[in-house]
Formats: sequence, structure tokens, C-alpha cells
Amino acid sequence: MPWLASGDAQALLLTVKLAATTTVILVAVCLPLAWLLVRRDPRGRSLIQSLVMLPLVLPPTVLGYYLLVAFSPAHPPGSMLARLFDQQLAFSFTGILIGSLIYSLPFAFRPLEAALQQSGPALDEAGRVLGFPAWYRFLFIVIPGIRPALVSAALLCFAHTLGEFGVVLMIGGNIPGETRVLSVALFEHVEQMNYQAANRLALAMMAIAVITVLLSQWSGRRHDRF
Amino acid sequence: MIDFDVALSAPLALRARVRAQSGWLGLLGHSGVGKSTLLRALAGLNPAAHRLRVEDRAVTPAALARRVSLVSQTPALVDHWTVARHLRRVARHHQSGDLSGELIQDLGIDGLRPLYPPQLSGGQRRRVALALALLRRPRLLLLDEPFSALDDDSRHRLYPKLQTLTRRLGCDVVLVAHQIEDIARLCDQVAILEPDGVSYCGALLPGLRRYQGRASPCSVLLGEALPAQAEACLLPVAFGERTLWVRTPRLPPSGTPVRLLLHADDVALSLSELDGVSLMNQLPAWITALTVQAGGVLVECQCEGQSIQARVTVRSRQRLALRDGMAVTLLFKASALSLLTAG
Repeated sequence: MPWLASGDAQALLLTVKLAATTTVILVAVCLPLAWLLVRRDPRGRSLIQSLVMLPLVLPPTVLGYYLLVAFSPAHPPGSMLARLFDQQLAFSFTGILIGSLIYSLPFAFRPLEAALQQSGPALDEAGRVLGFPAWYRFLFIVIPGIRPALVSAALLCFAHTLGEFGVVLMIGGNIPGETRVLSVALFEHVEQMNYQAANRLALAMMAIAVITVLLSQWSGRRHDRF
Repeated sequence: MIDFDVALSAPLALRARVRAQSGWLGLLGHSGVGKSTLLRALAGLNPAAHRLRVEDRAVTPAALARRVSLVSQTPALVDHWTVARHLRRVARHHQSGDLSGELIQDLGIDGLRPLYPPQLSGGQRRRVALALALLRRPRLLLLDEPFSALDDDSRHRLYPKLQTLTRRLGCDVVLVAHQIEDIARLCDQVAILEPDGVSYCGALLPGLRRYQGRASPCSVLLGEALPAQAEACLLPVAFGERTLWVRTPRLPPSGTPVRLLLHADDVALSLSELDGVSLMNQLPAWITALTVQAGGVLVECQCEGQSIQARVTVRSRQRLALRDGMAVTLLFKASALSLLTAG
């Protein structure tokens, strides 16, 4: 018998896929958004900041409940979304992906915004003095300049999505291969008093968490070399 | 030609209009009057500038940033790029790869190529920034105290190279320097910036005289190098009918026009020529103006058609009974004259 049951291996793969997709999308969206807020300092900045921080204080089940309502095909937002994605969003991978994006948003946004606020303007000015255009400065000077924050934002976002439970359970349920993520599988094992399987899953998640922390430490140290 | 008109409200209210010939323009002004702020706006780094006109045309900060290079007191470099990568990327972006070898050589930064900016000293950082600024082939180069971290020796080696380079690249220069020597040496024109705008913009010597009333006063004397004697480090300079003696380690060839800088505090006045003193320079002159200042009395004298300033105490003025039109002898040591390279 393999170390992880095939259902659990499937849940592990699904979870990693969910976390990786969430991380890539969030970092790609948050970087330009945060840079825009820092550079332009628009009038609605604090409103945007508060909205972005909301998922941090909102109970995940509440967030999941509202998303479930929004995804319901009986009402306009749900029916529109269903047509847009050409599928039913509740109890689907796309549905839990949308939930994760909202749920992990502050974890990607906050470190990026803080780093851009701190060192972005100086990096940008260095590039400007050297005569580079704005897109070049952002891509090749500002982003590499905040690499430690970028790595830590990505790792935080990844780790946070791995442990997601409430939102997924509310909007995704427990469909193997579609919405059955690690934490849901773990919960199910415990409910069925299958402690050996639960132990293994918990250990696997623990290992991922430890690796994440080590990676973030290592990346921070590499940047401090000079 | 150098022609710009700038108005700012932040970080300080400033209006400056300058119109000068092509070449090097020195920008004089007391600290805090906004010289660096003006240069930043001219480099397109102040997005809040509400008036930016160059050669009578309105320009945007971004358009200025493309054509103007700034080397500030603490030049901004990209901390995660090596010096070599700075040079490579700037050369590629501005299609000036042909220039980089020469700039690296002239500014002596070849050995710095593998280093990151935080590993550079202040002087090294400025030399790198200077190379990068020129590598952009700017129309206008703005230098904000570029030499203050360099020792005298490096400055003397750097000046002629800079002048040759800017002339060859055809770029005009606006220089802000704390030391009047630097401006007197490199610039033919000066502009004086005051809180309510530019109060003077024109030729060097009248500009320096006008400015000196308030700064540490000094005179710039124009002469011509004579054949140097065997005595080490002593250069005779023809000054009208008279000969001035200058102590300098660098002896220019005979016939070179030279500029000499003389601080007013280094000049003494006597009612007659002195015998038996080691002072090498004694010039007959007459007083054209006396101004009482906080630091003493500034005595403006005329000699061989040029103006020389001396600063004495109120007590000395009373003892010698100095007054307008009086004949005096100006006394100063050979080491009080500093030789500025030929303009």
C-alpha cells in the first residue's frame, strides 16, 4: 500500500494546483495594482486598501456563504457568472479558485504594497535618471528590487491557500478531484476516525509549511549578500 | 544655447528663467535657495512642476528626462545591478555602445565594473554616475556638486577630460558647485539664483563679483603663463605690465591663457611697497569702493584694468585711513593664488 491513499494523493495534487494558480494570478494582479496605488496615490486609495484587507477580518464561512449566494444560478450575478465561465460555479474547481483569490488577496497585496511603498520610488527614480521608460523601470528595476517581498508574498499566499478550509467547504463541498482539498480530506478522515490517514495528511501539510518557511528564509538571505 | 524657464510650487516655490550661451554655466546661490530643486525639475524629476519651458516651448517632465542627464550629490543607482550591467543596459538603451569604452577609460571606472553600488565610495559612485549620464548623450548635463567627494588630484585630472567630452558630445552643462574655484575654472558664464528668481545671468567675472558681496569673496584674475623658471613649482604669469608669481605643481606651457583665483581674505594692503619680505606678489592699485560687511571691510581695488578684492578689519581701515581713490599696494603670497586651468 502506498504511503498516501490514492484519494489523498489526488487531494494533495488538487490543493497544490489550487494554491499555485491562486498565487500566480494574485501576484500578477497585485503587483501592478499596488504600484499604481503607490505611484499615483489616487483619491480612492484608502477605500481600495480597506476592501483588499476585508477578507483578513471576515470569517471564511461568511465569505463562503456570500460567494455561494452569488454563485447561485437563480439570481443575476450567479447566472451571469455561469454564462461567463460556461459552467456552474458552486461546487466546481473554478468556484473554489475564485474563493481562494478573494480569501488570499490581502496576503499577496500587503507585502507587495509595503515593499513598493518603501523602496519603489527610489528604484524608479534611479531608472528615470538613467533614462529608461516607465515600463522598463517597472519590469527590470522595481520588480527585481523588491524580490524578497515578492518571494515572501508568493509563499505566504501559497501557504495560506493550502490551509483554506471554511471557504472551500462552503462553496466547493467535498467532490474528489474537483473540490476535495487537503484540509477537507483531513477533516473527513478525522470524522471517520481514520487517524492513521489523518496523521499522514497532517504530516504532509506540515512538511509543505516547513519547506515554505525555509524557502522564504533562504531567499531573504540570498538578497542580503551585498 | 541654454534657455529654460521653470516654475515650481513644491517642494518650494521657485521661478527661474535662464538664457545663456552654449557651454558651461555655473549656477550660484546660497544653500537652501533651491539650486538642487531647480536641477531636479530640469531633469524631469519633479512631476509637480507647473511651468517647464525649454527654448520657448512647453515640455513635459518625461520629455525632459529623455534629453537631460542629472548627476546629483548622491546619485541614484540601481542597487541590484553591477556597474558593468548599468553601463551595458544604458548603452544598449541609448545606442551608445561606441562611447562606453572611452568613458570608462576617461573616468577611471574600469576596476569598478564587477561592484554593486552599495560597495562604491562617494567619489566612485559619482564617477560611475557621470559616465552613465554622458553615455545617454544628453543635450543638457546637470551637475550638482559632482566634485565635492573627490580629492584635489582627481579633480584636476577630471576637469579637462570632462570639458573635452562635453564639447565633443555637444552637450551644454549647468554646474552647481560649493567651491567657487570649480565654477571659475570650468564655466564662462554664471547665473545667480535668489529666492525671488535669477538675479543675474551672464559673463563669469561680473557675475562672481556680484555674488561675492554675500559669499566668501574672491577675485578671478586673467593672465598669460610665462616660461617657468628652474625653481620648482613656481609659475610667473603676465598680468598686464606686471608679473604675478603662482605656486603650483602643474606648470602650463608658456603663452597659455590662465585664470587665477585669489580669496579676498588672503590679500593684505600696504601704503607703500615693502622691502625684505618673503611675499612674492606686490601690486600697485587704487581703491574703487569700500563696503562694510559683517566679516570686515571689503576693499575693491583696480590694477592693470582688472578688479581685485581684499578684505580687512575695520581697525585696519581706520589705521591706514583707507578711502575711495587712494593708492595702495596689494600684498599676497605666491601660494595664495590658485591656478585654474585655461578656459
